[in-house]
Amino acid sequence: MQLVAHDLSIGYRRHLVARDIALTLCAGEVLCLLGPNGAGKTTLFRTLLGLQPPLGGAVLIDDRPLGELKPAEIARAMAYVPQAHVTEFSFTVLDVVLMGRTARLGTFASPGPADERIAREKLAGLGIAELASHDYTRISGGQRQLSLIARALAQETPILVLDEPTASLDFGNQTMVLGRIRELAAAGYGIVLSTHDPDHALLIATRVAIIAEGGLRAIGTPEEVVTADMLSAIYRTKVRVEETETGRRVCVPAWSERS
Amino acid sequence: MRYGVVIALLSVLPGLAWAAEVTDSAGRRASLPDRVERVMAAGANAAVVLYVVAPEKMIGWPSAPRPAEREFLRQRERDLPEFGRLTGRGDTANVEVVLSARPDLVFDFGSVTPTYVSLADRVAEQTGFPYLLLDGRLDRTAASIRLLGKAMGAVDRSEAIARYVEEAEQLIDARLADLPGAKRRRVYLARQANGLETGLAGSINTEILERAGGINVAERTSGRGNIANVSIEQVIAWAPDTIVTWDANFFAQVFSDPVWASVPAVRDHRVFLAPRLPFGWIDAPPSINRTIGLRWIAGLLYPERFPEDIRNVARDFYRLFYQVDVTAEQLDRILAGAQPGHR
Amino acid sequence: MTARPVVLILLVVALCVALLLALASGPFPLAVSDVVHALLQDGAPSPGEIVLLRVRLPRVAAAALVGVALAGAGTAYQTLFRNPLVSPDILGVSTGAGLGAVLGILLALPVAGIQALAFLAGLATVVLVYLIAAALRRHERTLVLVLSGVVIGALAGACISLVKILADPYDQLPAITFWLLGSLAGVKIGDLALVAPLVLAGLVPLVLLRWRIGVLALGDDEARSLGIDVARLRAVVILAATLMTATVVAVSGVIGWVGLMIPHIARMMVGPSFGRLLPAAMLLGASFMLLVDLLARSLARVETPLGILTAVLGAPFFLWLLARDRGSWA
Repeated sequence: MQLVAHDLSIGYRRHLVARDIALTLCAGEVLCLLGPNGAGKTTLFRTLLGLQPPLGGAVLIDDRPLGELKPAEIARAMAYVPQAHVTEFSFTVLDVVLMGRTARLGTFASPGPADERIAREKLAGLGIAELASHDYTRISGGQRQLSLIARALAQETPILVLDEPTASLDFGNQTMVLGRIRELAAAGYGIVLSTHDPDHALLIATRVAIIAEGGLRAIGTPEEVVTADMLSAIYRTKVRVEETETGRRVCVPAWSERS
Repeated sequence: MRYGVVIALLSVLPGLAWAAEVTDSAGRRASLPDRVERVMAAGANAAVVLYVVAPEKMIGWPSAPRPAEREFLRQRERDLPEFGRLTGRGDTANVEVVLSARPDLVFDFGSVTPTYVSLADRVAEQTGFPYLLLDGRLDRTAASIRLLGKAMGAVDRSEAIARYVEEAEQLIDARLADLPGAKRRRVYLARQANGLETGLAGSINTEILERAGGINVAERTSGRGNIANVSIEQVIAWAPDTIVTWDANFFAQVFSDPVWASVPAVRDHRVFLAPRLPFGWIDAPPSINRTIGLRWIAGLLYPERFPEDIRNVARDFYRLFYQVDVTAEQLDRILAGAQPGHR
Repeated sequence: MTARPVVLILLVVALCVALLLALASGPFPLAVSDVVHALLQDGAPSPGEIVLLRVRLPRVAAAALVGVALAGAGTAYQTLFRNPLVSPDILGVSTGAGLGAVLGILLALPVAGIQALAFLAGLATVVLVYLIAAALRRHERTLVLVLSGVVIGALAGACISLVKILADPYDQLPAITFWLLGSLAGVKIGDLALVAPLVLAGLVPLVLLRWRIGVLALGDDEARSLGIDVARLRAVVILAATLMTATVVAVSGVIGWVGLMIPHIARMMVGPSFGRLLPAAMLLGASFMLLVDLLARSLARVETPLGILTAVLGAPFFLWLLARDRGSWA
């Protein structure tokens, strides 16, 4: 399955946020969206998911524009992992994960034993099987994020869209979540995620897209795109990209440099 | 000599109104002008009394008569303007309206509890017009009417009305004096379209029914309140033998209702629609218009003791009180559903 | 689904007990022979049989339906608007129906006319609110709906006050006041013939779609990304809840607190998942209304308005809820 955006202009009725965006996503790819605050990453996400209409251009799933698809059809192709939040009501973790099965159920159906089995499998696959009967509002932020990933997995879609999955997680949880995402890509999922941290892009992305200044600034491999010049330009601060002993690249602020 | 001339001149000067002092039913004193020509009624009760006792002095109605009622009122009074209710439940009159109407006297007829006394004082203070509060309870009615007649300068007429009211009550009492308790009729007052709102025993709403010798099945269990809502089950349990209502909707469907058929009154066709034109015979408003209702109810409950034809009594009543001559056709309309054997 | 069937079974048992108690209570003294004859249906009915079959049975059935409708609508709305403080009247249906009814009393219509006017006015109010919200075209649809509902409800309330002023204080005002407080005193079998199908018509979609409605609790974006046509489902829920509420308000008057409280209690018993919550709330609502109506006709010879009883029971309960100081709402 392929997710394609071409000539995409995004924004709200009176307000254009970004234009001429083109990107593609295939199975096994991790596409990372980088960009400064307010550049339009969230708007792009909502447009890619079909939650709001594009102002121009189109988003296509296997050559079918989103506008022609029903919500259930979109939901069988793409799963959304929002930033972990607290719900108004005290659902159990299993309740939350089961909601991911909705697109696979008939209109008047409720989840059955098969659905429950799948939900528990997905929880187990992420290492949080024991949380199934816990109160979703009372587990840690990292556990909530993993529960939402489990829900997206229960949707059994080839494409996953994650909105800043590591925001407000501590370092340990961040690393864990990023690790799981890598495993999912290796298992064949197509993944789009947005992040504030260029290091994350360097860690797990197969391709990186920079959204800045009202458009798609750059798209390519992390080596091509995540450069000191690019980062310094879009974040408006001096940044260096250095290589560690083990060959990994990391981003470092260049405070000591003058001029 | 000169002083005598001055005094004679002074006493002859026109337009010098010597204030007359009057004490009303609540013990309040008011100063009235010598000649009272413009009188305003503070509420619906008082309006009826004013129309009956001195219609020519009436300057307006608290609420204008409805089209169906106008037919049974005098020509001049039919078209008088509407001022709104001054005091009581839902006062809607604007004090400025009262001021611009320039009445010589304002009065209310009904309750004389401290609440009403303070309301009366307040209006009198705001407007500067004399405001009389008259007791409207059945047993005080005649005295109140006489008091009003004296205050307004309509003594003859008020005397005639007061005497009629007294005689009506005395007639009832005399003929029912030896009625044993067991033979008293059990009456239920059915209000509203579903007939499940009623007046509790001793309330102003059922005063007439009880004064006419009926036992109100809706016993009072607490001191307060006049109106109450009951279930049909309760009415069946009470088993009244007579039902009185003035709701045409209720009256229209009660005989075809299988549930109400369990009530003895319905089974025996003893459900009666109280006349309402121009004023209700047993309530609406609870004023001297109910005098005819007294005789009517007594006749329904104990026909053998009140054999006179209600049509004649009503005709005389309407002529004396409302100063209209009703035709046979009009009487038919007034009494529709109000007499036995109507179905 | 991790079901807790024990709780639901207990609720069904409680409902049966409440039904029996309700049928057995009332000012008219019933003998066992009345019950027997009523069951055997032999010969002309005695007054006791008539009371049982024609008076108490319709009234008890109506009370159960009112409880089911209000609790069901309240639960659906609390999930739809993701807010546990929402009542079935959030979009103005009860206030609108109240306006229709008091207008009917003012115009001295027969009972059927008053009920019809109440029902239509309730529906019209919500339609108006929905259209206003649609015309305003903001992102946060639920917020716009709620605000429009509050505004129109306030307007309807002001009109009710106006009607009270215009009404005859001797004749109509007591009736208006009593109607607005809620009562089932005048319920007949004929009323049930209309109320039952209409309540069912609202109930069936809610029950059939209960899983999807439950997903709405996550928020519009997430629900849509999970495959739900949010706008359409929301319209269905509002239509169903409004139909049920307008129907029962037309027959019983305005009864508050039930639609707010019962979903809370049910949530404490079976959790917030709508699939379990809806049946639990409906059963609980029915039992509760049966008991409240029982009190209404048994506390005194005269009827105690239902709205007063539910408020007297509801307000302290809510204070207790607040005092419990838990992180989130059950």
